[in-house]
Amino acid sequence: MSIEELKSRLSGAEAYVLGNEAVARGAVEAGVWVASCYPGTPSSEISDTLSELSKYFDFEFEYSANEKVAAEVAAGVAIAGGKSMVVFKGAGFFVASDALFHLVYSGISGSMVIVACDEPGLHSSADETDLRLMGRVGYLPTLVPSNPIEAKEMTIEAFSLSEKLKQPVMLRLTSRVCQQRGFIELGSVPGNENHTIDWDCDKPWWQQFVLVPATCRPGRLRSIEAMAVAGEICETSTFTKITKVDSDIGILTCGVVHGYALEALNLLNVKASVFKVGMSFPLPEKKLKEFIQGLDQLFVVEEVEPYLELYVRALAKDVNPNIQIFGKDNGYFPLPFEYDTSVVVKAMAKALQLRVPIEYDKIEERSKALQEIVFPRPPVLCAGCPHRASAYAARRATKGKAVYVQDVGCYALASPPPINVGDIELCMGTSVGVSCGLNYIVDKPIVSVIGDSTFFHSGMPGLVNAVYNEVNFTLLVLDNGATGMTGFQPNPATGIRGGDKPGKKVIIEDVVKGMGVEDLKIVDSYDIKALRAAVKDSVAFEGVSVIVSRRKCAMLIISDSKEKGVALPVYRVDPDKCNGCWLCITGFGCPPIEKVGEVAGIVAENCMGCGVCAQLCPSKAIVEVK
Amino acid sequence: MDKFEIVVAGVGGQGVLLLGSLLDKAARFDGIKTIVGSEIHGMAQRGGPLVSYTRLGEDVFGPIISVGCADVIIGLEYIEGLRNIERLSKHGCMIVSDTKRPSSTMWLTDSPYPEKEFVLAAMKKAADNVLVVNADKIAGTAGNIRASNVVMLGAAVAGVEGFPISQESFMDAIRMTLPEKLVDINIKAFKAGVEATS
Repeated sequence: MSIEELKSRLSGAEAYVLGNEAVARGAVEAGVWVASCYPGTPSSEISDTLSELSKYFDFEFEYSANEKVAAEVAAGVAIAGGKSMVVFKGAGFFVASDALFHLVYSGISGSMVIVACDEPGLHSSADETDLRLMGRVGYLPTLVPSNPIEAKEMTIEAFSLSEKLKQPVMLRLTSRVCQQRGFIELGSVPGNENHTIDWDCDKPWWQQFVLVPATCRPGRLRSIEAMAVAGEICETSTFTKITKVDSDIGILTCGVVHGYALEALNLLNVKASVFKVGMSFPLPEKKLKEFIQGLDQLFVVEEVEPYLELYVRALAKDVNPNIQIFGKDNGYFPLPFEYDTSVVVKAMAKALQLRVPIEYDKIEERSKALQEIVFPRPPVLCAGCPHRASAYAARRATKGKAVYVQDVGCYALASPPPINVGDIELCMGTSVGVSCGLNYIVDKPIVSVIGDSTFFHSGMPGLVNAVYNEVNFTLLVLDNGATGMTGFQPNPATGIRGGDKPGKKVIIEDVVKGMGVEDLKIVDSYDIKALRAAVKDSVAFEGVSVIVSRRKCAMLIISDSKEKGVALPVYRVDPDKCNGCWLCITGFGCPPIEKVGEVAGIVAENCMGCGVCAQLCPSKAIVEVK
Repeated sequence: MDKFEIVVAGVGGQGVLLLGSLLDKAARFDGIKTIVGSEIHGMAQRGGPLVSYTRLGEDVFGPIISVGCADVIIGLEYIEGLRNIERLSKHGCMIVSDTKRPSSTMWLTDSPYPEKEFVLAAMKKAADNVLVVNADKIAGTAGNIRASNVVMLGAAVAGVEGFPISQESFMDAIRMTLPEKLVDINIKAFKAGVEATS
């Protein structure tokens, strides 16, 4: 929460942190050499904190172009013998997995920690994957913290485990750990170490680190051996927490849901032994067998996939075939979405035939009745957002008769009404790749939208593909100079690097031209007339068209004006001229614009003065306040 | 104290997360050992709803306040208060700011912001105690309407029975957390909130 506390070199001091910040501090205490990331909720504060801390401690930090590159950066460091960390959200793991799943075959010389943040409940992600399974698939030993204290301790432990195994180790968090606030005790930070590797040119590196079938076969055996060692370490890990009481009932749990299980026991007044898994891969098989041997009933409390459940069901067949296991597989616990204490209470009450102490059904029924009053409050594009202007112009220029393909970023908020620019959006880079496919079979023009950071992340290979395969579509690259959705991290288009260091600015139009795009236009996002003309012209062009629509993010315009002490203009509606056509609301929808009786109005303190609404008003009723 | 659970609900920009951290820190100053705070803030910057949980006491192990368990909900706005009311325990207290934050998407469906009386009636159906605080006006009188959230904090401390954190600790937390130039106005706002419900 405060970088002042986190940058302290005093060990023993207490700091108030988010789980994410605890991970960043853990990396510093473990003596990380190089950290890389691509930002994404719920992991963003890990990288942002590392970026800040890199100013005070001796390590390199970079915002990478995408997660695969970030993983490769970390891999390079760890192969050479250094200490590295790579950070991303759950979906970022998918992007990075090519690098990660192969790195296991070469192994590493130093140590490397992969931090990946899942999001049960899909608060701001588009998937609810359980990366604990990926640990198993990829042979990545995986630690799962449940609170900020464990987040820091397990980060440090992950480095030491990685060093022992000569393999990358994963730290898997969920959003309720990432964004959980609490107090941690700071540990000591190693003094200035030498972070330079004297590369041995005579060593036959290729025998281990050039992955071809002949080197991967021994690599495969090495990774299997490493997992066996990890399994032994796991059996004695202090992160496995077992609380035995005199009861036939047991609970097996992992991560943040551990707390809900304990609270449910309290609420239901049930005594049970509790096994909390700290390392989810490999699992402590011997300890688990021992635990379930003495039980009649076992509740497996875990979010997302029945990962522990299926494992323990298999174990039980050998050691305690008569044990009753209650989990997701037999319908006692729900498969999807985030858990809380009530989920565990309901499951246990059903299985043990106990009275539920809180009237959940009644309360939930009452909440349903409230839905008429409690209107939805979806996230929307901000006042003055240049993306709104770009998307509006794109729709007007094509009169709504086009396929609009979106991408990951704020601009995807232009998909629902009133803007309606967005028919498809799957993942980073969709706008270009999916358009290439649509091009073969769809009879309408294709107009796609991608942001600056996403363009560099995974738009570029798609664009090369489009040029090469002579695809006919129009791509708007919305360059607002920020990775806005995740908290204004810099990207290659900004010319700023991690730790606020200056970097080389990569010019989007130069990249586009270099790829062979012949129809390229650069337009100011606030110039609706020019944008409409550009889109119309590009749609008419046979082949790949790119329009770079450029204007700084409205939130940055506001913060700049505050910093410089320059007031932004404000607009108002002239009620005598407004004829209530509502285009500004039902077609454009900038948040400060409201209905005041028969005419439109603008809430002055929310207006940031972009003036775009004044350009589009057919009655010229919107004017600048002089 | 076995357990005391506080929900803060509002819209991005109203200062929900600030109240969350002030609650956590003030509880720490009062020597409360177990403090678990939690927030979800992915989409909030784009006008979405925002919720923070602060859970105190020895019986607390996880970060989420589950249905029917909150002792207090501090609603910085009517609808966001009501949106979270299912978290409130039957004997808990809903303390809500007399503030309406419409959503810009309301205009698309032509459904106006619900009448305040309507919202309050729904709240009273679910909770024994409902307290409305004219926080924006009180904050304005104290010097800055933006300190409306801290007015609500003061009002909750003084107005909610059994609130386990002292006023002194809140003022320490304010001094420690906010930039120096904002400390005085927020202390003033906090005290004005206390006065409003004492």
